[in-house]
Amino acid sequence: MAVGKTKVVIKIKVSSQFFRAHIDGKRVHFENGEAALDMEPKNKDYVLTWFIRDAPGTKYGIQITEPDRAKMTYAATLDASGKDAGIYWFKI
Amino acid sequence: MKLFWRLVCMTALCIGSAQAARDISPDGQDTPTQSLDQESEKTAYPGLISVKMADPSLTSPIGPPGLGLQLTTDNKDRKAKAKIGLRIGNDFFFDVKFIVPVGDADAEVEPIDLDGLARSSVIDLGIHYLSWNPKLDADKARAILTEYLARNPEKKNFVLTLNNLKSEPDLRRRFLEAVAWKIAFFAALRAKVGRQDFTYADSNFKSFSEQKTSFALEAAAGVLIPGWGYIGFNFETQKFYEAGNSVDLILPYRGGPVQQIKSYIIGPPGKRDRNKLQLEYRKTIGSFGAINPRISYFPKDKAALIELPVYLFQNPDAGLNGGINLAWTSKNGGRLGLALFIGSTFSLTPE
Repeated sequence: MAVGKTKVVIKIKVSSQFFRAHIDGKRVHFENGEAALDMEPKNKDYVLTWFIRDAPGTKYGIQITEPDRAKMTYAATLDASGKDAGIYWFKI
Repeated sequence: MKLFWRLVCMTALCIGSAQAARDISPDGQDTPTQSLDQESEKTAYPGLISVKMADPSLTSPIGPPGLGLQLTTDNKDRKAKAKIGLRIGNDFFFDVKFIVPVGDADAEVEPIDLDGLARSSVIDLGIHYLSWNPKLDADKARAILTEYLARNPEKKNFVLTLNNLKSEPDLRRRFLEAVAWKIAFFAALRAKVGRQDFTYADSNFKSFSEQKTSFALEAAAGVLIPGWGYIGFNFETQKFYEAGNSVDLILPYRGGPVQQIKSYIIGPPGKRDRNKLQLEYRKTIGSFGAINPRISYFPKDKAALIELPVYLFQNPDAGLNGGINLAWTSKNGGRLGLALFIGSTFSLTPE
């Protein structure tokens, strides 16, 4: 990891093709459901956004496991609209 | 050796069954896309089932990754199918379908979908590409979060999502307006290899039996338009074998005065080729149903085919996963078909 950078780990549990996650508008690429990003601390919040479209009843989850101060967990089941989207602000 | 191909496909179906059983285990191990640490997983996703059949009636060239089994049946052609999907990188998906005809279809009656590989044991490989780039206006979302927390000050760890705003319909509507779902683009390529047994007689009524290999290539592209559904265009070219015509002969029974009627297919199977152009549409209807109408044209046969799969059956865990398929073809003066399908979850492009 580069000096001065913080490792941010995002994990997903989703089988849908229609799933996307972005940090500050840049796409997060996952490998085996996990993305480990080296990010520079900044005064402003980072913005994690995610989107999913699938059949009603589809279950999925997203989680930030590192660093501690950014941790979050979210899991949901898609309702009749077949859509969900979320946003999470965090500092590192 | 003669049954080898069928055995390969049947074995694959069994493996698919075992894989499906493994994937729906309560601890969620071994699913293609999972990776949460186990400790967090149990608390975060109780009851989460990630197994999902993702390709409506397994007939479309495009489908997201997943794994599933399906049995389709009508009065002539029954098939058992299994599919295994795999994500390759973030935009590409690979899947394999194993399709085995079940029971004895009438060789003389052409399948209503005019599929030249309908009576073959088929291995079907596909690779898919998806481009999708939705956006969310963070400033609007921040204002919605601020208002939500003002109304619900006790919810300090609230994660702002569409799903979490069910109790605040006005904020949910504003949040929906802040999301630009954008159009998604698909492309897919499929290659199919099938093997089929043929039994026929020569002009001396001597019986022969042999296996033939058929091939098909399929290309597809489509768009998912928010509010409209999925519209796709497919092209398929097939090279396959078709059994000859059957004749009924009245022959003496064991040389005696009694006669018997025997059916023979005279002559070896003939090689055929067929191209198909298809337009398809997919849309869910609320949470209780989905449709996937398809219109196909076969230039060489100058024949049209209209299919209307309707998803009607709900599985509490898998969603819409069965229904009926109405079909009509213009060939031979017009034929109408009705089939049931069970086990395949409608997944693509819910609206």
